[in-house]
Amino acid sequence: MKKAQIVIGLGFGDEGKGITTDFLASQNPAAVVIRFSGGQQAAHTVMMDERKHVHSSFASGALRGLPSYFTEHCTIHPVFLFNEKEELKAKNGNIELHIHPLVKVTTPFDVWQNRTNTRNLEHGTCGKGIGATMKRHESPYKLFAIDLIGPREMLMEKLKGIAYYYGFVEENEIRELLNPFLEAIDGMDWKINDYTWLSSFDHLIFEGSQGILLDMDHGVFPNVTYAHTTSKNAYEICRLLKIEDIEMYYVTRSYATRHGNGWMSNEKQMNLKNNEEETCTFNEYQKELRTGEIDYSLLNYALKLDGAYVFPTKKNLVITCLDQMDEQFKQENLDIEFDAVYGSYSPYSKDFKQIF
Amino acid sequence: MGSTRYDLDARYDRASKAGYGTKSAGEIFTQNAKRMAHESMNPHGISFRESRDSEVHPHSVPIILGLDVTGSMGHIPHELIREGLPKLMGGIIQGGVPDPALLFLGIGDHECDGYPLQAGQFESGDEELDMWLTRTYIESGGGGNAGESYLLAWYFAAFHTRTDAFEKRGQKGLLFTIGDEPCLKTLPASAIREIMGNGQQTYTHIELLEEAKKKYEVYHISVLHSDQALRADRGWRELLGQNCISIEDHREIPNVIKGIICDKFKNKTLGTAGLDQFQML
Repeated sequence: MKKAQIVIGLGFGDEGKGITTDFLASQNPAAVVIRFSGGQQAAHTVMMDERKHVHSSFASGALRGLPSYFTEHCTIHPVFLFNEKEELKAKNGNIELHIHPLVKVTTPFDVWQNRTNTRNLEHGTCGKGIGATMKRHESPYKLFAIDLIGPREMLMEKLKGIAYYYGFVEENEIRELLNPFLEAIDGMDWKINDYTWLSSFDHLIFEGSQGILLDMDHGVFPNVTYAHTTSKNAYEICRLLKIEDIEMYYVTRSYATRHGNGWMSNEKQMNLKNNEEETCTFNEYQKELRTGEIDYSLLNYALKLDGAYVFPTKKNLVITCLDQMDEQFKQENLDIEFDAVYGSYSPYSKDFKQIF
Repeated sequence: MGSTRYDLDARYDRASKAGYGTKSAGEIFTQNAKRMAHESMNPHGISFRESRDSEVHPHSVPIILGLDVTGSMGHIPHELIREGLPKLMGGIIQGGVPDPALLFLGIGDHECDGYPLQAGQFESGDEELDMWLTRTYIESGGGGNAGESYLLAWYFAAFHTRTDAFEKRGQKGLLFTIGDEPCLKTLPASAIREIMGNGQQTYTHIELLEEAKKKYEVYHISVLHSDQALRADRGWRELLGQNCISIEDHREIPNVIKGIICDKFKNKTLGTAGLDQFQML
């Protein structure tokens, strides 16, 4: 029977979805890893032996050799994607990436808009054009993955329309922004495939993005992401593929984090150790990574909320970064019964332990 | 909208009770403390602001005042509420235009500001006008880009106002923007969508100016208080010719506007004979 495993972050992102996905990938080498929300803003770190990769436009099984699939709920940016492909190739990762025809494509104009619009910055953007792309797709100026393999003249017309939509008037500027974009498109062997491509796999790993507390419907507006970060999208695809055996992997760090503006509970400076491999460091757009004590009531909230979207056969919990602090995680404070609880004790998924 | 009269005495009474003369801008413009625009001035989803004739005002004259609420211009609304507004409205009425209907727009920068456009309603009564003016959020934003979004006032006037003056009498309204920076050159469809909630066309400032001119005489009052403002002024003159009015002291604003409106009214609406008659009433 076909099996799906869904990895969901319970917080504001940065919970350890990458390492958890890699852990599942290591047990299921014939699986495919599927991204079902977010896009090129993801930074899912996987470490293996001497290798390290921050997965963004590829799913977090790539370094371990698994193929990636991006569903229609995602966005891609061809330049970021191309660069990551080259990087992965050098690290001997799997660069096989299949993309749903309706994946939304970020253009250089969206990135420009995202980075120059102060309102976006205040809402906690990471400056990769996703919010702008999603917003643009509510207008008539859309661009989908399928357009990248359509006639080039048609693509150019659509891109011109998007430049116009954002008010770009100077042809030189437009051409300058488009050159690297078009080069990246030419540098890819695009595999644009709908969901039937997934039906050849018996094992599917769904890799969430961001975290439930950033969900567009459930986060605290306006500091939310333009995506459904619950199991909603993943579960819909499971139903489409008639997969009934669904295992949940809910991920939290042993402390709370938030990168970017917005409300968080229990915020305080944490005394952490062994965190030299932290990927979420200062960046120009989101500033410092914020930390706080774990909030069990928020975890219970997120768990109960996700239960409204998915009917799994098993629920598992993953607690990451347990080696970074001395305080014990109090599982008894959670209202949900888990089939298994895993702890991670290093940046490597090989150090995952089942603790319950 | 527009069915009350501007009453100077009542205005002075109310202004002194409200402490407009002594209070700071922060105390008068209550949205400033909240750091957000008043919901009633959010243009998102507005179809039209209307200037209609009424029994009290049978010949309404629509006037739009687009106030720059970015950093260097934020003191002008304060000045208006203290003394300028009664001077302006009183002066217009005394000058022989009995039915002015005034609409305030707060103008910021669509590239940088949270609230690049705020829209009141056409009003003729002093209390209502005070309300919309003091409801305006003086965001004091703006940015390092070369200009502010004065063209938003043109956009709003052209596509989101309706007036009896124009529809019944074919009479254009008057549109003033006031500021010290150049006009931004494009208004992208993306920004229009974000501000108004719909729209799919990108406009240049020249296109929008032409659209606004169909229903309004368009003026810009250029406040020359810095070298940068002097440079901006040149651009405005090229764009608007004699409809760019340059002043050095912003306290001149009510007089300038009053003068233009009364002049217009005299020359175009009633004719000289009519005005004489009118003044005797």
